[in-house]
Amino acid sequence: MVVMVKGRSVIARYLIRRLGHSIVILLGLIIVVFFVTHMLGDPASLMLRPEATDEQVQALRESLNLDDPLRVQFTRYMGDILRGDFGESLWQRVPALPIVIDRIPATLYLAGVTLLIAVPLAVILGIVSAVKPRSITDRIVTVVSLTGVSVADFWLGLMLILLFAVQLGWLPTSGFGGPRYVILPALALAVRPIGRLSQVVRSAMLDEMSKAYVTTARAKGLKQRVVIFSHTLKNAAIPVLTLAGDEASVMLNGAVVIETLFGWPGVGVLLIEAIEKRDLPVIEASVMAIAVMIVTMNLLIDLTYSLIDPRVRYT
Amino acid sequence: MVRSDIQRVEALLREARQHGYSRRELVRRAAAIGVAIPAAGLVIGGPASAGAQGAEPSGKIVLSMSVEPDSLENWRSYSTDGHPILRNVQEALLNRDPETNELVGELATSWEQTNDVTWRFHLREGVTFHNGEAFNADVAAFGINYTWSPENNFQIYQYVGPDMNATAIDEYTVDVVTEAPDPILPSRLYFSPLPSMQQVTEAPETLPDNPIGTGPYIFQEWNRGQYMRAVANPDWWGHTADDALGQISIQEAEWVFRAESAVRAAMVVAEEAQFARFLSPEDCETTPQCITSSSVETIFLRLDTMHPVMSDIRIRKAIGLSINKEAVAEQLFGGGEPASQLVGPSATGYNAELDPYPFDMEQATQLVEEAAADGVPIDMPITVATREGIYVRNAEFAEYVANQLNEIGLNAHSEVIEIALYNEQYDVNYNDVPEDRGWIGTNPHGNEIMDVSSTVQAYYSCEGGSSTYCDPELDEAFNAAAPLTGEARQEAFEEITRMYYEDYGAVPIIHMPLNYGLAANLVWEARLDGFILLKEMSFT
Repeated sequence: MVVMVKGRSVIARYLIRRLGHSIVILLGLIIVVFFVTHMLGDPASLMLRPEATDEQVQALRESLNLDDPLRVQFTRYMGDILRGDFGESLWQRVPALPIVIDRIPATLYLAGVTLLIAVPLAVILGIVSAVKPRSITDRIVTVVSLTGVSVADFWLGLMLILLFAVQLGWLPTSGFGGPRYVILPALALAVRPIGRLSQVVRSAMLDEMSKAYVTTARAKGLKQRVVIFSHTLKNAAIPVLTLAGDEASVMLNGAVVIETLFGWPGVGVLLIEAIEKRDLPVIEASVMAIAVMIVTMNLLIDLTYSLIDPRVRYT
Repeated sequence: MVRSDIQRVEALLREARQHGYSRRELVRRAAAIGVAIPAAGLVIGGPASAGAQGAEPSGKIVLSMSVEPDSLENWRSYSTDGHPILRNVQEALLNRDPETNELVGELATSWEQTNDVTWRFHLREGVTFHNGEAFNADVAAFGINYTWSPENNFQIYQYVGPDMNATAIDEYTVDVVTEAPDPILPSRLYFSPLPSMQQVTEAPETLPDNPIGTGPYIFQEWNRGQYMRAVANPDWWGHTADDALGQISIQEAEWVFRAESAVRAAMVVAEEAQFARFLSPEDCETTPQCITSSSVETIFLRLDTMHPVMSDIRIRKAIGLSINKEAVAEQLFGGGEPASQLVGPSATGYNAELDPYPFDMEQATQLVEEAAADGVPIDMPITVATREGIYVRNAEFAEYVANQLNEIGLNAHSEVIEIALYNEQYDVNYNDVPEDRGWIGTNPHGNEIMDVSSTVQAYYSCEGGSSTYCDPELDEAFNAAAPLTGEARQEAFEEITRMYYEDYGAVPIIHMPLNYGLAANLVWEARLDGFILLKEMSFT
């Protein structure tokens, strides 16, 4: 009981400390975004059309208080951000943050389904490969993994569309909607993580399976299935989880190519469009939203480590 | 319409698709086999429908477009992003006959030039906006003044100009007075539809997302990043007008946005969409009906003529001689006519006596050597710049051009530049371009107005918004030609075209073909101006 209470308080302190770190990271990002934005040039000129008149540029500067001293602008900017006010999109003329928030579910949906496909498949392939190292099976899995890492997701996406949507008619070509719509983009996105993760699973499993406890387990007569899934895999999971988190970060950044190809309304394609249109409020809101998602995900992954490996201590 | 009529019309339609009949030819043949024009019009849904609206509209069409518009404000309809949606919801005083390209009345029924600077438009009566607002001269005048306001400085004002002021004379008559004589004002006004005055004054925040117009379709919904939807307007004036040049046969429309040509084509093949725009030639061929159409778009090389290298006419001529336009048309763009000038034959001022610059690498190399011998610094870098996604295969074209320039002895490289950055550098006047920039821009130029004057204004004149060329003599000729009409206008602008051509102000490449993929049962003919009007479409 005491140990449990102690354990809970340790976790709580760790959580608070990590939240503090996350806030510092986000604040740092806000500062960087502010200064980079102002270093690019006059934000008003950047945001308006090239043919905007001097009067229009000045009118925008006044409406955004850009003639105030930089420290005043920064203070106001920080206050606005902390209230969730990123200003109004010059492109869509509505508040910027809701535009971004509208896109987050689609990004999370695609990322989640992709990971649901990629992680289990990668684990299976990695195990199969590790159980019989240097066998034909191992070599086939390695080739498949390397192909996955090497293939251009854009090309793969197009091939999936032509096969499953056009030739077979099983799935829609593109667009956003129910489960049928997410399968092809998720498959196209999953191939690379499958390739990377399966190799990491293989390496981690080989490392664990060479250890004495595995020999002991086998000597005790435990079945291979039990040795792998009840003992070895758990010990090999930490690096796999870390890499899976890295892959998830990439997806949360927005898989721009796949989103563009499939007409998937995610944050990635929104950010690219905002950059093309020099819509600074939407750029800032997108960057912050992505940062919050990644920081949150990293925190969850860190908390998951101790569930997998009780030896992990939160210090 | 009796069953036998339907069968005869369907047979005729199959023949029409096989032989590529125009709508006019189709109607003629329909009459020859004893099928009434309204009956044929019901099936083909085109301007042949001289009478009132026939069967109730039904069905849904999904149009797969390459780019989602930024906004649906009326003044943006001049752009290729905006008008596929806007011109179905909003209407202008004028439109063009899809067969002849002549200006025809839309919200105006007639017009005349009452003096050098004044055009009078007689408006169509009995027209209402989708919000119930009546269309009349006050609304028309308001809409024109709003759209072409120097204070608003919308892009359409920058590109299409000029300064004008509209006044209601009576309930259905409006005068538009221009600052200077403008014989082609009606062409300009065809370019932008009119907004609802009520919407502009009372709910301007809705203008970007929810356009209200007088058109055959009522805008319903815009789910950003996904689709736009509209439904047929049961109260459209065209239901009872003889000159509507179309009828509503499709009840619902949905526009979706797919950046990749192969995906747009795949949607048509998979029957998820019935219309796909701007396909590559290869992708178009996969669709049930591939329509390749001429357009008013011309791909050209815009030369920084203030650059120490390109200021020399020998270098400009060499650049013109180094591009194999036939090969470019065939191998990169899947068609298109080599161009001698920035406008096509449909434009007033097109000079039919000019031929495309020939392809002659030997002469081009020789010219560069001569220029170098005279001290022209041919090793100064030249950038063949192209805007990301501006047209299909633009990156490959820019690479080809740079390669050819290197072959003749210049120092060139190609660069694909993202949209905002490219536009910042492209939409800059001659006087503001740094002398050493050394850009060759590769935008297409669309002359929907079909009059060379707008091209001269934009690209040939010293003060042109996108001009990197300056010849005071040409500017003088333009100022003298601008107020002319008829044959005098044609001849004066032919001469200006010749002056620009002989000075190698730019290098026209091809008149760009546009490829559309259609479902097997969709009947539609492409327009020269590129408008995609649902009232000109129907399903068999």
